[in-house]
Amino acid sequence: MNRWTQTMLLTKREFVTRAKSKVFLVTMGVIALFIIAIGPVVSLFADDPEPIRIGIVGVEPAGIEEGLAARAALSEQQVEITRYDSLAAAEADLEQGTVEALLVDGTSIVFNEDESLVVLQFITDSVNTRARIALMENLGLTPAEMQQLNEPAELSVRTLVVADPEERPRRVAAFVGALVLFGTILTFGQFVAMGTVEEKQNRVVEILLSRVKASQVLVGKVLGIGALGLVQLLVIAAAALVAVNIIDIEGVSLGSIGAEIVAGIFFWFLLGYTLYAFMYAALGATVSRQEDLQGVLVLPFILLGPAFFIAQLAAADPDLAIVRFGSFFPPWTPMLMPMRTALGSAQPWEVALSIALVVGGIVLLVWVGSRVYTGALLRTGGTVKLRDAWRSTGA
Amino acid sequence: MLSVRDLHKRYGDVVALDGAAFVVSPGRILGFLGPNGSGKTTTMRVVFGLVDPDAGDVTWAEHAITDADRRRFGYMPEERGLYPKMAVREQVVHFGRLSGMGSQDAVAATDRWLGLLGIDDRAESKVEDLSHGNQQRVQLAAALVHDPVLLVLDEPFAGLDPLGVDALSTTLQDLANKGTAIVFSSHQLDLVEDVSQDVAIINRGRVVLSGVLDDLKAASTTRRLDIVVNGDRWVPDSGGRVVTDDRGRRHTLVDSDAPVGDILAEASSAGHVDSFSFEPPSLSDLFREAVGI
Repeated sequence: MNRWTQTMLLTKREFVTRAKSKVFLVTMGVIALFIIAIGPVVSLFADDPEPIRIGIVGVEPAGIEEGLAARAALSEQQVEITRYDSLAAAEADLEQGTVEALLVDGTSIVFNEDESLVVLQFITDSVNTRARIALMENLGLTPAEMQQLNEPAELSVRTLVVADPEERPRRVAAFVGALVLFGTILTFGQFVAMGTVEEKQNRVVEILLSRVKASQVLVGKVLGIGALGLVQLLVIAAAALVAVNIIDIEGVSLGSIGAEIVAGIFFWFLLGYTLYAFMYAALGATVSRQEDLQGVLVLPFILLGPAFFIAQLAAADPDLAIVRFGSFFPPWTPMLMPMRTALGSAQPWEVALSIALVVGGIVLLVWVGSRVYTGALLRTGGTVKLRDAWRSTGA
Repeated sequence: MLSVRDLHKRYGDVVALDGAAFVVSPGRILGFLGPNGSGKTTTMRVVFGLVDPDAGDVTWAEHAITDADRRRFGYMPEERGLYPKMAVREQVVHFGRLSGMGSQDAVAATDRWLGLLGIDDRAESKVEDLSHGNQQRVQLAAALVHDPVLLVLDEPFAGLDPLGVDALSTTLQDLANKGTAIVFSSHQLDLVEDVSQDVAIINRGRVVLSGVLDDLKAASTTRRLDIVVNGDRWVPDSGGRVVTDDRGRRHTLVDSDAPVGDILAEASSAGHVDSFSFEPPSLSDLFREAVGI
């Protein structure tokens, strides 16, 4: 039996006992359902543009209904027409907001409070076109000539800045990705701290340490809980895939954006989780009871917290100085660098440098964290000062 | 053979160990005695590498203890500890495997020990659902599952009912008969006297008396006088040290060359002598003498 085999046994125990817990399974199910539900909800709002609702009252211009429909077809809109017998009934509906505007006797347009230029233009165009057609018919023009006269001039449109239809979904996805990283790193980091205190509080740690080294307990715990974190991310990714397939936005391949973001999340979770897990383990080892844990858990939260706000800025503009700086600060890198990468703001050398810095941070934390963990693990009864835990492990 | 030699350990100004030493041989049971805070637990922790001594060493079979040696040791700490939400069998198997057993061996040994300790019907229960006594048995199973060559038990009898005490005594005796070296600490001196052949008494971090219990008794220059006159415990006025035990009964400790005839005469003049014994001191007498109480 070598040390690695023992460590794997510890890893397996951490993974299996937690994966079997009802709380974990239920939480994961709820998260998955919530993510899948985003699909239909987004589609509901995206697919159904509101029709323009117009009320007609009094004398009706001939062919106005066809006119409105033709005008709507031109701008790829829907129109909904309601006819009223009396002006009073029509105005009542207008006040209620059932219709947006009234066409009275084919000669006046009534709004409730604010004039909508779009609706005004819409009705005016339709009425004018019908009037013109009537005039042309009186002039005895052939249908072909009428068609020609009515044909709108084709104007080409361009913008100086070419908008990428994928940009907005990409920003949203990158930000959501950062949130997922924020949540998973903190959640599974806290599991490491809680597991550590649990073993101290149960005193099981002394039995463990009579068989294995403290460093093995530490590594086994970090690996086992990290593997559980990966499982949760897989479930989130699968749920997101289902949701994305429900949403259909023209010109946007959500699937390929998603794949890119998900790959980034997995990579940065491994680095970010490792960085924070060793910190959490060391902090967890300094307290003896779960009740005292909250006090020390604040530390990593404060450390990662600012990255949450900077991520919001990054979603709007990934090239901001604070975002660029933050993406190189190892505690924030795991949230900010994947956003910059996804939004095309990071050069390859920047990504490489940030990875190197985080790996350096991990090495430092593994060293400091293991030493504090080992020094504090067998000390019970109150909170061990970090300095004392550090000193009590042989220098 | 486990040799603990001249251990010293300080925590700041507190001296935890100040020359702790004893020897446990295969097939022998050593009772490790001492008042609270005398260094028993610290000594045991040193054996398992949980505490680094400032000076002194611990050897197994005449060599420094290795990780491989430790995996063949069994340890039941004073602070009992198990995973409360893990099932009994799963947990004992886990500890067996951590001690280097293969999966099948660990399961077989676990089932055997759970049976011997009478908790096989609770194998699938979570530890937190067990009574205190049964949790203690699981703890013992975890210490025994890998058939250790050395067994170190910190206060194993604490919290057991008389039946549990008997069962544990028998188990320890059986293990010793099979060649296991056993060290256990206890406050219950009668129990130690019944179960162990060897004792080590530690006081303020220093082992003040150790050896084969019968030899220690025989070598003692103290003798114990138990005298009952007119149905009551009686002590002579003529000297010696009067000791009152936990149950309020008095006896006298005198030198081995004390004038026994004169004392008997004094007892006879006080009334009817129901019983009179002059014999080597008990373990608790040795203990009192050694720790100076």
